[in-house]
Amino acid sequence: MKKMVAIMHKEWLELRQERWLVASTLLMPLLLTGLPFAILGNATAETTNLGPIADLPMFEGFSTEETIQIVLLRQFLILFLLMPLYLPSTIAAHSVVSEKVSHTLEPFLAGPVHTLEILLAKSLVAAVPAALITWLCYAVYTFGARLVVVSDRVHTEVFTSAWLLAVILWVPMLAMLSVALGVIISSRTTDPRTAQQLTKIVVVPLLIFFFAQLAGLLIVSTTIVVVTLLPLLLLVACTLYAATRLFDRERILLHWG
Amino acid sequence: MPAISARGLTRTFGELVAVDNLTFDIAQGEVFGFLGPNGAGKTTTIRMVTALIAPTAGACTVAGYELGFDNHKIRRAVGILTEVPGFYEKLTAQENLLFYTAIYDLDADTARTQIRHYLQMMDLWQNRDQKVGTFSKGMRQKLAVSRALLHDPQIVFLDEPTAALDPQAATVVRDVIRRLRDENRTIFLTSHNLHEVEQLCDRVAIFRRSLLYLDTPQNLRARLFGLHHVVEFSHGAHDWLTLVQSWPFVQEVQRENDNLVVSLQEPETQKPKLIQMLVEAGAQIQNVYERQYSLEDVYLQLVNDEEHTATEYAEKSK
Repeated sequence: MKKMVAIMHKEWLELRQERWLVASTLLMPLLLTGLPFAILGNATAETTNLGPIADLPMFEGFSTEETIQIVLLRQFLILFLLMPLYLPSTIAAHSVVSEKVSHTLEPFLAGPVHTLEILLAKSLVAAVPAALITWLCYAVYTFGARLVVVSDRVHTEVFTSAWLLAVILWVPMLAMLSVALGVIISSRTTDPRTAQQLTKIVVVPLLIFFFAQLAGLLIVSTTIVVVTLLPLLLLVACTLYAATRLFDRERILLHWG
Repeated sequence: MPAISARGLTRTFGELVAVDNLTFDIAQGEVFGFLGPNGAGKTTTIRMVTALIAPTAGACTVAGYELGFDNHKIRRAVGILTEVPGFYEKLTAQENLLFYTAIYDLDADTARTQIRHYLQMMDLWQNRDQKVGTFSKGMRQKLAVSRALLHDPQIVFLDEPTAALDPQAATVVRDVIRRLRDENRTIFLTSHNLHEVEQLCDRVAIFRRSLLYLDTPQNLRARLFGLHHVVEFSHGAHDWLTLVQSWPFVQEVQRENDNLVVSLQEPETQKPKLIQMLVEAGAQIQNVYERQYSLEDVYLQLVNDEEHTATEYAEKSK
C-alpha cells in the first residue's frame, strides 16, 4: 500500500507540472459540457425537426419546444459516460510515455515493487481525476441546464435520479475499465502511443447504448443501473485481473524502456 | 556462499543469442569487472541477474536467492546503476530519491538520513531542491549512483558508472566504489575505462556473448603475454640477436630498434644470467626492465582474437 501511495504521489507531482497535459485533458470535457448549451440555444421548433422521435409515447403531454429540449439534453447525457472512458487513456498514456522518454522504466522496474502495485497505482492516478472531472462536468451540466430549460418539468424529465445514480456509480467503474483495457491493449503493442489510440475503441459499445437511447429503445432507469451494477463490477474485476496477468515487466522494459 | 552464482545463463531474442551459456561465481565483497565491446551482452546479463528480464536457459542465485523464484527478494537485495541514468525530470533531486526510498520500503527517518548521506557524499546536497531536468550529465550520473545505494544493498551493479563524468566527478565515484569495497559489498562493474577497472577490480571477466576469460588482471596479463624483459643497448642490438637466440634458456627473442625483447623460461634466476652473459660477450647495456602490459592490451588482444576467430568461422561456413 505504501508503495502504491508513493507511486501515486510521484505521478501527481509530475502531472501537476504538466500544464499542457492538464489543459488538453480539461479541454475536451469543457467543450463537451458547453456544446449542448450552444446547440440548445439554436434549437427551436422552427429550426429543429425531430421527425418520428417526437411522436414517441414518452413525449406525450410535452410541447414541441419541451420535447426538443428533452431529446437534446438526454442525448448529451451519454457524453458523461464517454468521458470516463476517454480521459484516463490520455493520462495513463502520458504516464507511460514520460517514463519511456526519461528512461526511468528500468530503475523503477528494478525495484522491489509488485506488478499489481504498479498497475493499480498507475490505474488509479488515471481513473480518479477522470471520474472527478466527469462528476464536476455533470454537475455543471445539471445546474447549467436549469438556467436554459423552458420549463422545470423538462429538467425533471432529463436529470432523473436514475441518471444521477448511473453517473455516480458507473463513471468510476468505466474509468477503471478503460485503464485496464488500455493495459491489455498496451501489452500487445510495441508503442505506448499506438496503445493510447487503440484504447479509444472502448467507446464503441457505448455508441450502441447511445443509438438505443436515441431510438427510444432504452431509457436509463434506477432498475437498469442497479441490475447492471454487479455485471459491470465483475467485468471491471475480470479486466483488471487479465491486465495484471498480461502486464509483463520484461516486455514493457524491452519494447518501451 | 558466493554473492552471485550463474550457471549456463543464456538469453536469446528470437534468432539472436545475446548471452550464451555464461557461468561464473562472484564472492561476497568482490569487485568484479565485466568487460566487453558494445553489443557484447553486458547490459542483457545485468538485466538477467537483477531479475529485470528472464533468462532463456540456465540458473542463477543472487544474494542467496534463486532467479525466477525469488525475483522480488533479489530486487530488494541489489542496487543498480543503469546504463542510462533516467530520472523524473520535473521533480527535484530529493523528490526523486524520496520516491525510491519508498519503493525500497525505507521508513521516513532512514530515508532522510540516507538521502542526506549520499547527496553529501556525491557533493549534490546543495542541489537537492533543484529539478533534475536542470542537472548536467555528471550530476545526473552521481545522483544515479546515490539512488543505487540508498537502501544499502549488499550487491551493487554499476553499468559504466564514470561514463560522461569529468575527471573530478569520476574520482568521486571511484572513491565511493573503494568505500563500498571496504564495507565488504559486492560490486559488479562494467566500464570501458580499463585503467579504472584495473585499479578497482579483484577479478575481470572478458565477455562477448559468452565468457572469453575470467581471472585477476595480473594473471590475465601473464597468461596472455608472459613475462618479457626489454634489454636496451647503447647501439647495435642486431649484433646480439643471433647470439641471444642461441642460448637454450631463452624462449623467444625479438629486436625492436636498439632493444631486444626477451622471454625467459625462469625469469627470476635467468635474468641476471642473461645480463652477465651479454656483458661478458662485450655488449654495452644501458637498461634492463620488465615490460608492463596494461589491461587494455589484454582486452584488445582477446577481443581481436575472438573477432578474428569469428570471422574465420563465418568465412568457412560460407
